[in-house]
Amino acid sequence: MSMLTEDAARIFEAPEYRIEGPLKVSGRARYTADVKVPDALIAKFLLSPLPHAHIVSIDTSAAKAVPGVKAVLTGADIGLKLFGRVLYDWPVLAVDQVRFAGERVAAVAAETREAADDAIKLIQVEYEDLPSVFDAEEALRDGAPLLHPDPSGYFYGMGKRGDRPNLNLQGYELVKKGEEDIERVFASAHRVFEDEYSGPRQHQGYIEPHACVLWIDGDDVVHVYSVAKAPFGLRTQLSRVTGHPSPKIVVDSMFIGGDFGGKGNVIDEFPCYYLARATGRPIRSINTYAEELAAGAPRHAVKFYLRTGVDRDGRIIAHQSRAYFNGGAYGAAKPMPNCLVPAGVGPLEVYNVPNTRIETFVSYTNTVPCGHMRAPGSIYAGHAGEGHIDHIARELGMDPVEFRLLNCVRDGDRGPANEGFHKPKAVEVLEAVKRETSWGRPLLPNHGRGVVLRHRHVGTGKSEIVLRLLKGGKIEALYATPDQGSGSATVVRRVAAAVLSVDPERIEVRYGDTGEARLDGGSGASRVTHVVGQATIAGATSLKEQLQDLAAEVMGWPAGKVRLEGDRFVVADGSGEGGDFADVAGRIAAGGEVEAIGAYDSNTLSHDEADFNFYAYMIEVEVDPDTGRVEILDAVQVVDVGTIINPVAHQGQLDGSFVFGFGNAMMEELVEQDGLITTLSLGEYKLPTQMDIPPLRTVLVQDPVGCGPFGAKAAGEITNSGVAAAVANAITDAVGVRMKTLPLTAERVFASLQEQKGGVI
Amino acid sequence: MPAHRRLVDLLREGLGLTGTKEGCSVGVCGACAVLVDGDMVSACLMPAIFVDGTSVETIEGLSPPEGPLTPLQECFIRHGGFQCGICTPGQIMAATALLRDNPHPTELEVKRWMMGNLCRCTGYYKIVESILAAASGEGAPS
Ligand code: FES
Ligand code: FES
Repeated sequence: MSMLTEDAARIFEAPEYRIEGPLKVSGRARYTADVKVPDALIAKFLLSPLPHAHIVSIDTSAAKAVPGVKAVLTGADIGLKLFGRVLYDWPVLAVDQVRFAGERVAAVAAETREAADDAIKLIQVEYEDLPSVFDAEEALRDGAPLLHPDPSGYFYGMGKRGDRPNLNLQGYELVKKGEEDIERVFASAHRVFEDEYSGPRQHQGYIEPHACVLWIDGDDVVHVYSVAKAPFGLRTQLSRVTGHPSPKIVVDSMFIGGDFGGKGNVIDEFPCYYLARATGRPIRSINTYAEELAAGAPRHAVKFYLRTGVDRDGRIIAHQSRAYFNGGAYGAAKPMPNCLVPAGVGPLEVYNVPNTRIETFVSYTNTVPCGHMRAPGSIYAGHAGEGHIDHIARELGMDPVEFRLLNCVRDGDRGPANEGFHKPKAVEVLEAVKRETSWGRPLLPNHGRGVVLRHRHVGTGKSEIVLRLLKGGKIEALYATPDQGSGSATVVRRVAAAVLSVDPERIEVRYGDTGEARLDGGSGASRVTHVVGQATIAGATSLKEQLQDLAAEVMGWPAGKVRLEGDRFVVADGSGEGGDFADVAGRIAAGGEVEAIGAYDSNTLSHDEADFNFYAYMIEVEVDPDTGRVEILDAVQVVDVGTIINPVAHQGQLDGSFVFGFGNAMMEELVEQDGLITTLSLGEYKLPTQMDIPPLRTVLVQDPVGCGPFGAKAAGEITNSGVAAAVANAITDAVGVRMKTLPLTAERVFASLQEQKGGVI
Repeated sequence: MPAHRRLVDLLREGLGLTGTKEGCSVGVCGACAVLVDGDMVSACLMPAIFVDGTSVETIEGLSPPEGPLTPLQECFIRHGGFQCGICTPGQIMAATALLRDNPHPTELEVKRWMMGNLCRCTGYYKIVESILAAASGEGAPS
């Protein structure tokens, strides 16, 4: 169902009262670290201090002798067990070799945290240094140390692993479009522009560190409370790694204390399984934040090389790019085919470019394995691509908005990777920038404005939901999508109510673990509103048909004539007969179970091309030329949206995206030195605070044409990726320097200003 | 409870009061904010023995399990002051302390006071809005 109905419009218009609200504001929502299981032991892990080394020996005897210590395990005890999301290349515990500082070398389970900590300190490991490589491009040079010389034993979960021109690549992709010999097109261009851009590792910055609680019951069922945002995915991984049958693994990830991609990858569930086996006791593991920052799965550091040719009218005719992502020691934390980061193709993704040649390289290096973070890699693709576009427009003497209008994708155009768009809104959001912001007005000295045009896909996947009639006139919706804050439970409630035409309060949404609820692809990738929402529509439609038929039966009304509308059953035969939902449903429920399963797979999309939320930014800054300090004076995000189901949460996602992107743009950097992460607390890895955030205005360009329920699109990962580019472009407008490396700290801007003056820094 | 344990350990592990959260463990994020004799402290920094003889107020103390929420808690729900919710007990304890001391704060006073409570989800706009709504009398039982 993608047409907006009257019921839906009425229900969606009212500000929502989030279902989980009372639990969350009262401290009663149960997160993984809050789970108490009797007799649980505390797990701790010994992390490698070296980025690349041979393990000569490990002596655990002193650690085992610590009172209260119940197990100390190393790779020698459990063997080489490899885990991953698609590519299983990461050892649960290191065997013979460590490939990054932070790799788990040994696991301890003890009665108290103190005993576990003491034991960790007493484990003696003798290492022999191996040559290391830390940079994504250096890893591909001749003579670079090979991290994985023999990957033949690695399981790859998506068919055949793609060809890799170098063994130090986790993944490689070449995307082409148009003329085979792109150099010919470049040779014919009026002007050709080249730029290099880079960004550092960044951390998702969720406030809840990874945690898990795992035990094995008397029937050999493995129970896992986890922060994993895809519990069914974790079940599959655990089963493959340990050999334990997946029907005998139950994963519960109900509330997640912040995700932003970081909870897609989990690590400690695997060693905890072996600790539980070894001790026969439940195991509880909670990371410290230092462990999160040193050895989580942060966003990749990246370097982009861009080259673009334009004709005399300023039309882009050719684009070539190479993106080098620093994947770290393992590809395991990434969920995409061939460990690719999709943003590799992203710099010019909103433009109509007839000829392209785009390469993505994801390297193995002796650094922390990287994973996904809110619109993975897209911030860097945006910073690079939109900085490059801005550069070209200014060199050509064109207004940056007009240059984008000339080149952006319109209906029927295809993007740089030959992808299509369902009703693209690039023009509409740019027109709104001209109409609704101060773009083009006079500026004070050292003030500048930057504009950005980007998009984000509406995510895809599969999900199933069960709807059943309860006694007492309520309807239960049971599903396994973890709640990481987006408000999906309330989406389910409102969508189900809209389809059934009942009061939303009748819908009780319940989270179920993997043992109880049906398959779900997890909460991420801008997927849930679309996929879970459509599954809800399917389930509610089927339940409604059953209820209408059963109402006729139990009430003695003419078959085929009963309609559920406006919270009542009515007989559509002109007799005016009917009854309250609660009364009739009560009689139906007394007669037995009524249940419907809603299943949705986005491969069966209702229209041919994929949906995107386009968006634009207009940001005005003031730069202090004496210090390099950048202040954002005005920020406007213009966002193409579909039908909005939860208006408060929807705006919350856009607000949160902006500030997330603001932090990424202005202050966040996981500093790495010789393979070691040195920003090891939230005091050093700075996140934005209340006092940092600039004023924000949101302009919605709305059209209910998305593939989600009643024409909805996505909201969670749209605007965060555009902030950096908009601010960088505004800095150029203000003081002339082009900032090609993130974050845009005062130090960095000041250094660029000095360089511009020819001064010594 | 071993002598070196912190107040957050006493609450979460010793007493099972898991409404108080632990994020950064270094006094930066505010997830562990509680009130000790009415003053806001970071429970991850304070040794548990220091609270001997004091009154410690946590999120569990604001509203009984089945009872009404405080107006501030109501406003956080209505105005979208939470998303994932992990920072929320700390935000609400901090804002509770603020409103007791200063029932009608300006927006700037709210931001200044709340600066020690990180939220990665909301971008803060709706947290400020929630607190100002409560200060204006919204959310009170009618
Ligand atoms: S956990 Fe105490 S301030 Fe972060
Ligand atoms: S609501 Fe998630 S950190 Fe604040």
